[in-house]
Amino acid sequence: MNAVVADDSITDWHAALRERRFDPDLFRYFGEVNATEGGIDALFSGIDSAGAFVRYLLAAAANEEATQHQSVVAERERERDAAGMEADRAEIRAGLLRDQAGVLRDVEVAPIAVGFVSDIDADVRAQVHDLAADVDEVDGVYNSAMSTRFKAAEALRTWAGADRFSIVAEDEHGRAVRLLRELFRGDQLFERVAPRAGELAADLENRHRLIGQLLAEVEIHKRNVVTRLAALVDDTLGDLARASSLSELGDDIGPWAGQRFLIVEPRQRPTAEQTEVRVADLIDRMVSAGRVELDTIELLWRATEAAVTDGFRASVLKPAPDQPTGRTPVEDMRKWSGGENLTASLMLFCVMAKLRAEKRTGTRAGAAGGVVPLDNPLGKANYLPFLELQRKVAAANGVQLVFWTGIGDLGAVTAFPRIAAMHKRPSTSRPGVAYVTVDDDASFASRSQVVDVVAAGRRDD
Amino acid sequence: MFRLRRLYFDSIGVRDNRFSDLTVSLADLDGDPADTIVWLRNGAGKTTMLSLLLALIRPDRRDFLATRVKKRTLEDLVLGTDTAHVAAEWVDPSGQVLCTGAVYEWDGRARPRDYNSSGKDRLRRMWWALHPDPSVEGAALDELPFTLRSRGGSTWRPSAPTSARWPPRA
Repeated sequence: MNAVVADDSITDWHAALRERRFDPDLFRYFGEVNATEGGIDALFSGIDSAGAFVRYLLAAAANEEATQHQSVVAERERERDAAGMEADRAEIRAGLLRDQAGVLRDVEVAPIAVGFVSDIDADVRAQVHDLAADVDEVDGVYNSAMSTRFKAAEALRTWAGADRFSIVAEDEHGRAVRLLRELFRGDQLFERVAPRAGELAADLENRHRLIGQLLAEVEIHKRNVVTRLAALVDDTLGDLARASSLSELGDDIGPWAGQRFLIVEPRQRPTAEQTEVRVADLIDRMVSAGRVELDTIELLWRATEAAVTDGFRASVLKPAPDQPTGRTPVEDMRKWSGGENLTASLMLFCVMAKLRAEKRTGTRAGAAGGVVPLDNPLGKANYLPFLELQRKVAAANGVQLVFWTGIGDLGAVTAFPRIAAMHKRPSTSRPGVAYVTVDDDASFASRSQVVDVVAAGRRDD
Repeated sequence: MFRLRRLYFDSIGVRDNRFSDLTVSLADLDGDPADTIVWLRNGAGKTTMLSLLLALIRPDRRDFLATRVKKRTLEDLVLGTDTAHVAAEWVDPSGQVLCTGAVYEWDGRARPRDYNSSGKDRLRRMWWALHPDPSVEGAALDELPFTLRSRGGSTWRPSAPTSARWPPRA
């Protein structure tokens, strides 16, 4: 009961009522009572004294308080029940979250929580399911990446270990290749290579480009070399044909008149294209083997040999006093006598002299002529008919023969129109000194037999 | 092509095989170049003579024939005080004569001790060629002032005037 009274006397209570110093609820209460059956009168019918009124009020207040307490209790009970249910729900949710966390047990816990977890269990399950699927997928991608990296590392090791690089690495200029090989084949491949992979890849790409340029240049050079060498081979085959043609003998040489002393030709002359292909193949083989022929003549010889796959056919006329016209393969020349070989060599010399004169002057040569000086050829070849044949061959080619000799074979020596005989004589005034002097003799035209002491000359008719 | 009519050697050769004022004819009775036997006993200088002729055409040391076949060098053949001459008289198909020659002399007229190694470069070599002109005195092979003929008066003087014209008149 909320009333402000001074001394709890009835007067005061009356005054309080008059002045409405009670709790407004009290008046509402009275209003409600008054509206109920019997109204306020019935309420107060049993109140016959102030004390009864007070007791009534106290009882009413106590009821009111009890009612309020009951209400609070009921509220607390409701709250307790609700809390219990909440606790149950939380426990279930905790279980759910634990279960879901278990799904992601392999995922390391982050030091700081990020994001939020949905209040809806189904959503949590869906999220966790999705996350787990994501984790699985990422794991798969990671493992695949690791496998790929391992394979790539093995491939890099295998590539760097290829024999073709070992040749370059051992080269005096192969320091960079050597270092890269050690790096790519080393145990710390990932640690040392991975951080610089981009830089190394760019470096290798650069090297690849430069090597490509160099190879292109080499290819151009090779094409030039092949073109030039093939042209030289063609020239050479042309020279051989021309040599055969120039070896044709004149009419004043007897049975050999009009014959070609030498015939040398490829069994099958290659086309220009065949020559280029075969010469290119030869160059490739020499370069691969690391043995490039640097001697120019030998190189041309090898190129010609490579271009003419079926070999050559070469024959000569075999020198004999009766000048037979049957042809003999050049291989048989090794079995010939000194006189046969000397005569054939003289013929070949004349052919070569004409060919050289043509090549130098660029014009077709007639009889080449010139001098053929020979040192002591008569030791092996003093058969007179051969000497006569040699002189005949030389004359047909306009060549002057000069033989230095010391033999005493008078027949051989007198086969020549001029004998320049000399002797060595000691000096009469200077001890230890000897002079070579000419044995002049007025009888040189008489074909003197004393040829070891005289010089002689005659006129060939 | 030229053919050879005469060879001339003077003041050249090792001591026991000297060529001094030596003319070798390679001509027939008409004086035309002819097939010739140059007859010398073994050891008398056949290869040397041929080598000296060829050195007129191919003067490089490595081409000296006697070096290749007998280990004898041009430097062996020129003694300390020699003014050595080798000359050849050629005739072309038209009959025109060409003389070619070489003169060898050691620097200071003294052969160095190491004349077959680093001293070889002190051998001075000069080559000449001329068409003998009948109107010029002393221009033929028989008249050229080689050492013996001039009694040693024709020593090495690279700038000395010559009685022959080179190149010849057209």
